[in-house]
Amino acid sequence: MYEGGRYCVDVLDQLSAARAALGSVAMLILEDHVNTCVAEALEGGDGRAKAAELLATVGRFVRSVRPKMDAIRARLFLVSIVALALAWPAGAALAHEEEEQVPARTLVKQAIALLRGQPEQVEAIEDKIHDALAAEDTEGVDLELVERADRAFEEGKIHLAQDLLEEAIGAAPHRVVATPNPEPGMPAPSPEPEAEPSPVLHERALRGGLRAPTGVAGPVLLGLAGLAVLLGLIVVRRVR
Amino acid sequence: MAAVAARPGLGRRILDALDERLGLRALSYPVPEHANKLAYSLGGLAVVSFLLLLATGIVLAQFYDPMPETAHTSVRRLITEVTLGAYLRGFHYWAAMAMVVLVGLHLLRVFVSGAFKRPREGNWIVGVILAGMTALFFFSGTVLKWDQEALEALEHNIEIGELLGRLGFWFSPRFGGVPLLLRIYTVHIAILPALFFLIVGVHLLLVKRHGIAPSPFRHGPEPEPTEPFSRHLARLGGFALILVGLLTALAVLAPPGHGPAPVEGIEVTKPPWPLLWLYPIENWVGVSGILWATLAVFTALLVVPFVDRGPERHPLRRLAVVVPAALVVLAILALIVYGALTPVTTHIEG
Repeated sequence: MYEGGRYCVDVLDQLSAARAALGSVAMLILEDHVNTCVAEALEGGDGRAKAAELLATVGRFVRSVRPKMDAIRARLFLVSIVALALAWPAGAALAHEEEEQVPARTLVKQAIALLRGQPEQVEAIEDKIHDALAAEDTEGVDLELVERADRAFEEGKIHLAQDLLEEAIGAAPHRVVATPNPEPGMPAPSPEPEAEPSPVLHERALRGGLRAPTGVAGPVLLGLAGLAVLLGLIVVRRVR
Repeated sequence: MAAVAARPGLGRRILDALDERLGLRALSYPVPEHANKLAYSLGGLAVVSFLLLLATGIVLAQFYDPMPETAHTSVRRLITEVTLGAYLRGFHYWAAMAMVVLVGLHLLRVFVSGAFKRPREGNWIVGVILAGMTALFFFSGTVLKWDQEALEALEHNIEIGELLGRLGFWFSPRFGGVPLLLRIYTVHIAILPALFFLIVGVHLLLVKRHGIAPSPFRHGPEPEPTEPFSRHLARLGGFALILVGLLTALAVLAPPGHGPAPVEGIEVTKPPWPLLWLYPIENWVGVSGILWATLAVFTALLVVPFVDRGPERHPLRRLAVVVPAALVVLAILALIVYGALTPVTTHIEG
């Protein structure tokens, strides 16, 4: 086509269609494989080995797609940097540094924080989880749990996904994953067997805002507050 | 008997004895009557809220751990485990809000009543410096609580430091030998308070030196009656009691929240409302917008007495200056509302 003198954009469109088609063929074969070979292996009792093989295959498949994506992203990034630098010479170039390989552990932490603070940002959360699954540095992350979290998130089970992700980096080892914590209250703190002095990742936000006074101290303090206001008003009225 | 009867009462004698040694009566120098209005007590109330922040801050410092690994947990522990800890933190939080508002209102009062005019231009500049320090107090306090919002605030601080090039070395996490959070802690609890006391001292001495500025709203040729300054102090004490009561009630009824432990590389929060007007500006211009907007506002404040120079103090006869200033204030308020409504965006790439 190209040598035949066709318009470059048409050629590119054909190429991306072909690439997408290859991707869907791979997906079909993968589905078939899971439905037959893997299913049989699971019934036959040697599911573990098959699962490991499957994970490795999927990993290779994902990585074969990823690096190209990164290269394209890097090029887009360079183009936008140049555009920014031309349009706005001062400062802009400093705002972006070259993208580094982010370890899976960091990505999982980011996904957890997004789930906690901005659960409506579905795409951003999916991106973080998928990036974590594709990351090269997977130290300190149980990828199997991340995959389960990925599936849970796709099914809309946000709390389960969050718990699984926390479990995947060893942040909530005390929690029984089968019964996810539905309340954003605070679970009891537990000793964490981690080497990294981790911030207490399993904590949810303590919400601010209006609330009724609790315990003894609340009403007592409110009474004192009223007294102070009253005294103040008397002083202000008298001294003019 | 007659000699005994001539002696003054016990209270009087104690007061005399104290006055002889401490010079208390020097405080009853005359000030104009209008100084007793609430509008002329806003600066005094800002100092009161500063003292309240100092008192509560001293207690909070006994429970706060400024190392990045443990800071978040120590704040959580203060809220959930320390007796009255949550109320103390709530009081500190609301006193900080009160101080920001009071400093802003005091600044507006001085501007509207033309009290910065000759010979008080120097004290206006001292006051603008104090307002800037209040902003720094507020910002550094935001970082100390070390939740997601705090970390994002610090990341913006670092980013702005990088925009300043070499000059921004102070804000770099690579400068100094201790973590940046610890350095911000020393700024919040030692460097800023010490400087603030010093400069407030200068501010008050200059107010004493020049006297209270005449009211622009007073008519008639007869001189304004005066009151002793000690009376102004007593009335300020009354206002201070009301302030303490309101802050306590707010600490009980509307305690501040505390976000989850911070995670680097994402932006999911917005700044607290006094800084929220910068958020939409950052959306439109980028991180550098924060720097330029802040510089613009403070530069504008510093040049006020050199632009608005005539002897006229009445705001309606200074419309050329008052109208633009009102527009700036309205724009900032509108940006705060807009910033509260706008969705969360990422500004800093990880």
